[in-house]
Amino acid sequence: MKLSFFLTPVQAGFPSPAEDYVEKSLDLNELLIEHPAATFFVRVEGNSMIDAQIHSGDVLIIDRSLSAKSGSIIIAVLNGDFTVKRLVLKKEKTFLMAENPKYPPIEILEENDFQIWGVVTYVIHKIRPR
Amino acid sequence: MTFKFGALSLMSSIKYGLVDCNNFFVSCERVFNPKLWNRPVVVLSNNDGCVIARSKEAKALSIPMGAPAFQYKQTFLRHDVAVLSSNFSLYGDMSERVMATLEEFGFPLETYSIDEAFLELPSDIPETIGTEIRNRVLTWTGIPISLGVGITKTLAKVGSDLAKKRDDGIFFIRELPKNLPVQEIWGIGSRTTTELNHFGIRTALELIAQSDTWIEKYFPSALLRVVLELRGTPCLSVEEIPTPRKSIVSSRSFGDLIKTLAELKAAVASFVAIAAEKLRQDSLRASHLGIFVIGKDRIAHSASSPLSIPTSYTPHLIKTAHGLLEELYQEGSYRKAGVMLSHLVAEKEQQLDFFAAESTENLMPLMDQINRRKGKRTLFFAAEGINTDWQSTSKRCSAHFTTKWNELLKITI
Repeated sequence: MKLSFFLTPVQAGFPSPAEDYVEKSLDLNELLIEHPAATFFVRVEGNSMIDAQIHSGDVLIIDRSLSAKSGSIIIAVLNGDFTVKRLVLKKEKTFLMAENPKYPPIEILEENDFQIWGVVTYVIHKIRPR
Repeated sequence: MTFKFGALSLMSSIKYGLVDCNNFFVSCERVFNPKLWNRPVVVLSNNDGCVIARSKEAKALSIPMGAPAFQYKQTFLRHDVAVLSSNFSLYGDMSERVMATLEEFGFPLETYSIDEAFLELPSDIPETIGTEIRNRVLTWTGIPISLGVGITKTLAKVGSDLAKKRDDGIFFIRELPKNLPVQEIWGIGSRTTTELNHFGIRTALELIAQSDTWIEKYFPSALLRVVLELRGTPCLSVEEIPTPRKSIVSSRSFGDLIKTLAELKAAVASFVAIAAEKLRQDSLRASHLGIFVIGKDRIAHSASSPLSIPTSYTPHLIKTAHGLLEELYQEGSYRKAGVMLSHLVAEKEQQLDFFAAESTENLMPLMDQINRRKGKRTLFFAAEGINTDWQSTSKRCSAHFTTKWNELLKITI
């Protein structure tokens, strides 16, 4: 003999008219992350990028799958240290530019140990005071 | 001796690729720490006991795999070796990223271990695919890989060993190398090696020259499969769906020796909790529970017991484990303990037990959910003990850069 039973309680009453329109709620990952395998988060300290709206304590979203172009804000490794700057390619020269007039541009020279770690795609900045 | 692959294999329409991450644990650490680049680096096992991963520079210093850390203290100091505790949550996350990047290519993929994967490639694939795969994994994840390609999985594995010795890290194997020792072949263990050497067979080429009947007569059937694969006849395919776990083990060495039954009970309870959570993650239940303890004298004692009904309910499992432990315990000091859950069955395959109380059914999934969201051990069993002094000492562990919000990589700008 075979018995059937229902896993969900049987509703007696008018079914919800919204039932046919159920969609999953919004997921921030969908909006902010195109390549999950290549996406990393870092936290920054300091104010050299303040004019690019990157403040001390912010979290940056980095996509390593993107190739950096002139104008991209990048995470770079320069002589063994991480930094975040705007990449500028001008007349066959490479510069790392701060977004704060107090910080001079850095020209990348042959002898520098320089590597691009990833391209910054979003800044997560808390508005509400802590 | 000349050697050609069998005619059969020419008809085969697929090739196998083995992707192997180079010095994987060290490479993971290096992604987040440029100070480790171009410098000898070793990663130590749980408890900082012995070396389990070495950078190229550390290998050049002849630091062997498994080297006890205390014996090599001087070497580490003299050569400025960076010595790190293992950070398995980082390695696990980076491994998933490598596998996900490989999956993007669309070839059937089998995750073979934390740092290795087999790919099924079309046989007419151009060799440039190697560079493409290698570059993409390096760019996306920061992890360097080697790739071996051959017409069987065993040949792909031989190929990946050869690829590691090349600058481009890629090798398409067409014939077996001369003088490849049998012990370096995937699937040939030390016992088989000894027996083969006893017959005067030392290299792969000597092995594949033997007749099938001779091999079958003197060796287990697994060896014939290895030989066929070496000759170019595929016997193993890419297993996209992981075979279900047969058992789950959770064990650890103690930071300091444990002397009392109470402490040992707390440690065993938390191993049970870890193993049971894994069990539930895979929608499995265990029908058998075993425990083991290793004394100061390094002698292991174990006990096991079947469970009346297959379960993944932590309190039942802890109760059984404690019962076994009480039988096993003798006064003394213990250096390690562990729990094994086995005879696993899928939740849905389980027979119903008329007498079993099912009112607790939702409790464990709820607890797992809270612990996933709020962090490990947000909720735990009192039996696990609040004080976890027994936990292993990992003094030089890097941050959980990719799995904890409060441990993100900090960059000063």
